[in-house]
Amino acid sequence: MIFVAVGSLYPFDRLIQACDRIAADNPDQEWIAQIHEGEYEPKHMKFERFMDKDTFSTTIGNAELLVGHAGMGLINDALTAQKPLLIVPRRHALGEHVNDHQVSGAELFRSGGHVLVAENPDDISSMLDEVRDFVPKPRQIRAAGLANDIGDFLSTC
Amino acid sequence: MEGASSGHNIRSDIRLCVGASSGGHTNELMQLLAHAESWPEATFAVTTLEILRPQFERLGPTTVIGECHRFKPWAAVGVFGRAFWFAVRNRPDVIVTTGSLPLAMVCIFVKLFGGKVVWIDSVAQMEELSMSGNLVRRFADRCYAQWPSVADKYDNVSYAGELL
Repeated sequence: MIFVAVGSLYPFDRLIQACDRIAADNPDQEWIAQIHEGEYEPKHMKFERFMDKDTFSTTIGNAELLVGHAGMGLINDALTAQKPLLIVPRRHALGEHVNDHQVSGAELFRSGGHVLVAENPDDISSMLDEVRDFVPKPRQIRAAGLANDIGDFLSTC
Repeated sequence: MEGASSGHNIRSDIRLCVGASSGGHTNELMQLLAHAESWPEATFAVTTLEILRPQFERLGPTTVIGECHRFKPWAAVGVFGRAFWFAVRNRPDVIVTTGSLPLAMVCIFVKLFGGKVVWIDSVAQMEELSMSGNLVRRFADRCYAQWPSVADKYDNVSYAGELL
């Protein structure tokens, strides 16, 4: 199963339409999509508009690969579940986000070996085999440093 | 230091509020709290969507203030009102938040009613602070960026690690 997710803030019809076209051409492949308030309703994928955390995590766990927007929530969930993720950054110019931070973010996580990036949803189809074989590199984080620093501050409050 | 829980002496009656909006912001807050063994339990939690309530209730009694952003400016009025009402009723001593805009509004009112503000800007902001972060850093007691290069651009913003 391929899981497509656009997150909890905005729809992303450009991505959902492209995936639905691919699903139409490949009827043997199962797709599940999370589409927010998108105007376009998929005809060849099962879909939900929103998912709670548990459903979202379970669906990620059941997926062989993930396709989605370049949201940090999705990237983090994919890395935690060690699932290959192909992201399409939202474009400010197309009204898909409030600025272009998903474009620079996508590049950063791609260059770190954490995700694969399709600049355009029309590229997804030709990249699916590559995504299937992709092994994401875990990200090194130093969350404890930040928690300690804030702990120091809380001691003074 | 890494991974060590330094023995913080935080007063146990501190009214601590933690908050985040959906997606990566929530993941960041959860990651932070997973490393916050030395902090007391949160007294209040604030988030933006009902669908997130079950996750936040595990942290503490939860208030949902609604979501707003630049594509939905009219929604800001309701969020602003709920942020005000939350702060005036609960008077947290400190708020620790990973954003975004609705939580910035809570920060404004917490500060106005004498509380302290700790803001952690999103890891998704790799070149400069978010619009909300740039607002909150002007009055925050602690403001963090998750990229050293972003923190270096501002006098009162520091880097101490990243959450995602």
